[in-house]
Amino acid sequence: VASPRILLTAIVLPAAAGCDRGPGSDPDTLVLLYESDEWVLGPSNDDSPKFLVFLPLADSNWRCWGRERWEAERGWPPPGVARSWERSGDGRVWTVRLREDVRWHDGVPVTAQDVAFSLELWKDPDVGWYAGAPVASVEVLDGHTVRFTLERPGDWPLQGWEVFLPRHLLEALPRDEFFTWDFWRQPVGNGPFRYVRHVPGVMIEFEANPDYVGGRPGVDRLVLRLSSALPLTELLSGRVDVAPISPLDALKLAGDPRFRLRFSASSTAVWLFWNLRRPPFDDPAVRRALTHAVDRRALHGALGYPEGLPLTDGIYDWCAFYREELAEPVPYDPVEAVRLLEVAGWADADGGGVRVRDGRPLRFELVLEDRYLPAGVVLQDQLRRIGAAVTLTSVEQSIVNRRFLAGDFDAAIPRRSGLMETFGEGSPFGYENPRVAELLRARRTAVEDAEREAIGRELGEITRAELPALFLFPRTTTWAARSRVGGLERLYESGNMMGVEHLRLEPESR
Amino acid sequence: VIGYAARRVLQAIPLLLGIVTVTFFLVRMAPGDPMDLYLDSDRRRTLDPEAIELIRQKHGLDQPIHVQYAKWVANVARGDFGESFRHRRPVNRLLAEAIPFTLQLTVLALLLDALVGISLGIVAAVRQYSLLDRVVTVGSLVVYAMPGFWLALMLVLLFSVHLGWLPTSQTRSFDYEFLSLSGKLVDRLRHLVLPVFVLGVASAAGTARYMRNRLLEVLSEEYVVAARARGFPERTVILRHAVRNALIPIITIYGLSLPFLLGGATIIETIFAWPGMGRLTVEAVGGRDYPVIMATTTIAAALTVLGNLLADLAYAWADPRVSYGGKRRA
Repeated sequence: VASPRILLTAIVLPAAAGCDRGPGSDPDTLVLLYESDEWVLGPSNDDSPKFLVFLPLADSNWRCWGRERWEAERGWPPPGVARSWERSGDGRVWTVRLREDVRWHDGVPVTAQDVAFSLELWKDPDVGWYAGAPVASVEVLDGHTVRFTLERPGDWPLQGWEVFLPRHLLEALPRDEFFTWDFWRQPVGNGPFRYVRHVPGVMIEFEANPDYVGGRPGVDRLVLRLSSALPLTELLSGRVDVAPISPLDALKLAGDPRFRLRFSASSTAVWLFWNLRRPPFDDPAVRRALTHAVDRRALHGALGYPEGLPLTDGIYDWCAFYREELAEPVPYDPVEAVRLLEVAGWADADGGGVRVRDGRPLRFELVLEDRYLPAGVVLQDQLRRIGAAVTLTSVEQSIVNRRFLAGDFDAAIPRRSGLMETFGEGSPFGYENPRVAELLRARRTAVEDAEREAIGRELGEITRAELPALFLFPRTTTWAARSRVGGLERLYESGNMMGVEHLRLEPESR
Repeated sequence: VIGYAARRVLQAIPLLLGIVTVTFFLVRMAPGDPMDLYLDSDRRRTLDPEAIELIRQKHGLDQPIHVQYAKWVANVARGDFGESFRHRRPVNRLLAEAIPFTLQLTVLALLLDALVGISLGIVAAVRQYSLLDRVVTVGSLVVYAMPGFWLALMLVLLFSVHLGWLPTSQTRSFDYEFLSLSGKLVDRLRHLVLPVFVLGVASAAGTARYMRNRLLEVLSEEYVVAARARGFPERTVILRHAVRNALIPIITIYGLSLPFLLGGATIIETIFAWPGMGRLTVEAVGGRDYPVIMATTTIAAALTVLGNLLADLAYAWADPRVSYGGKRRA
């Protein structure tokens, strides 16, 4: 009989011991939600928020825009250890000059030796990291100048291992224990925040680095709350200040004065691929009709994305994305879609709502992972209106990719690998255009910006004409923040949390 | 008893081997590849096919599956579950970190289950057809039918979002290290309340219904009537004679709960960001982290077998009519 009382006591007493105000109510601490709770700053976590602690060599957009445009667009200098760089005529040798005022958090200056050491470390088979551009050798020219020689001509040589490590702290550590170094739990970086403490599964605490080359961060204390709990409840309960949320959750917070929203689009996009080996997608007219039939602006709205999200068709260069120089997309025009289908012989003769040609209905399966199911439902509805019947098959991501790579699909929304692997020779969805394959190869080794841009333009023109795949939307991070957080517009990188140093806690809310 | 237990342990070895063998091959037959981790254009670090092949070789994934299996069995026999593909750390260390968190949750949930479930079952049976019995019966049915994740979310909304009494997730507060001893205890309890309640109360609902039915059966037995005829107080009759006998099948149920103790509760651990075995398993399955999947499966299988054994031993101990030789005494 006493059990219910005990149960009630178990709930109420601890609660009565002090209501949970939540760390998000601390006026001097900015709390960010971060989903992962394992080795957050470690090397095995590719999406780690490492740029809280480490500076990249040079930010991607800076490389696209150049320093002047960056500063004009963003209003603050680009983050990075590099001051400038130049490449040899054959595109194989890159000479990078480092800033001389960057210091590790323990006060030791960052030098070219650190960069060379890091590269050597990443490529060491004992370490087993395997990442990194094909750098044949690295040479320290002086304390702040380093020269990379690539195995083949190519783009920026430092993709994949942009973070540099302090040689003076790591040189003597055993390399075969790289992944379990204590350094990853207590990193000494050179970025805007200094590591303070880590409570596994709970939080990582940072403090502002007053010597940060980009200027003192906007908050003195930053906490990453490590939780896989629902971001919306964490925000609503006041336990976090900033959290990445789904666009659909953003719809729930839109208009709520307690919160601010920020959408940050990346240059990679979500595409719907038609299987060009199968009818009716082997017919360019059908692909064009289907593209006309999809109202992508309406799709963005239904998914909770903001108006004006970048939209295009065909292959585009990522620099063109950041420069906002994307080609115009195929317009939404259901009338034209119907006309094209009629001309191609697809007719709804029996009035059943599904078009038929030679006894074959315009019916196909769209394979997609769960997260894209809402998009699939919208597409299904839009295509139904022009007489195309779509069956949605929602499976986990690895199965979508397997089916895509095996060509076992009608239409699919996979997470594709590189452009070359997707649109080049041996394309998994059956795209065969020798000129595109040739351009993609040339693009990989192009040295001059003008050459790359010319290649990008031709690739775009060809693929916009052939429409082998349908651009749906750029991958977008949606941030929600409590109204006390300022500077949200400067938060632009999702997983790695670039720009967090610009966030601040508004004085009036204190 | 020792001979019986030893026989059962010996019998369990081929059973265990069979379970992990089937699991090993099933996991590898499932669609998906651990190397997909490196092919995702969303991620910053996509690797060349050559680098992926090197990683595949490092983990032995390039070898024939029977070779992989033989190596895995040999390593496990030495107590080595290998290295996690995802975390790049020894699986034994991951398990050592996750198991204590899961035990905190599951032991308390089982205690809550036993305390509340058995108590309510007794009350409902003793006061059969009373208002209390009806409330317990209907209430336990409702709670039993309620999805755990839904109950968890509703409680989070009520106690964490609206009332602000309890934390939404995690195992302790940020400032835990700076709290006094009593403060730390309270902090731990506050983080345990919701997940333990959700886990425990759903099981307690089932236990209560089972206990009620068993006790009603026992209360109609002749020896209970005889005890009453001898003038024992009703409290003694129920607690000493009826409840003890009604508990015998429940011992079996709790014995079979042993895998739950270490296997964790995947959904609840995910909702409450509890870094236990359940979450580790879910993440491993999603990422095709074969060494972790195999380690957690092996542990669950071993505990299931052990739980069965313990339940049988306890059953024979509690019921004098059952002998270890398998013959039922008259």
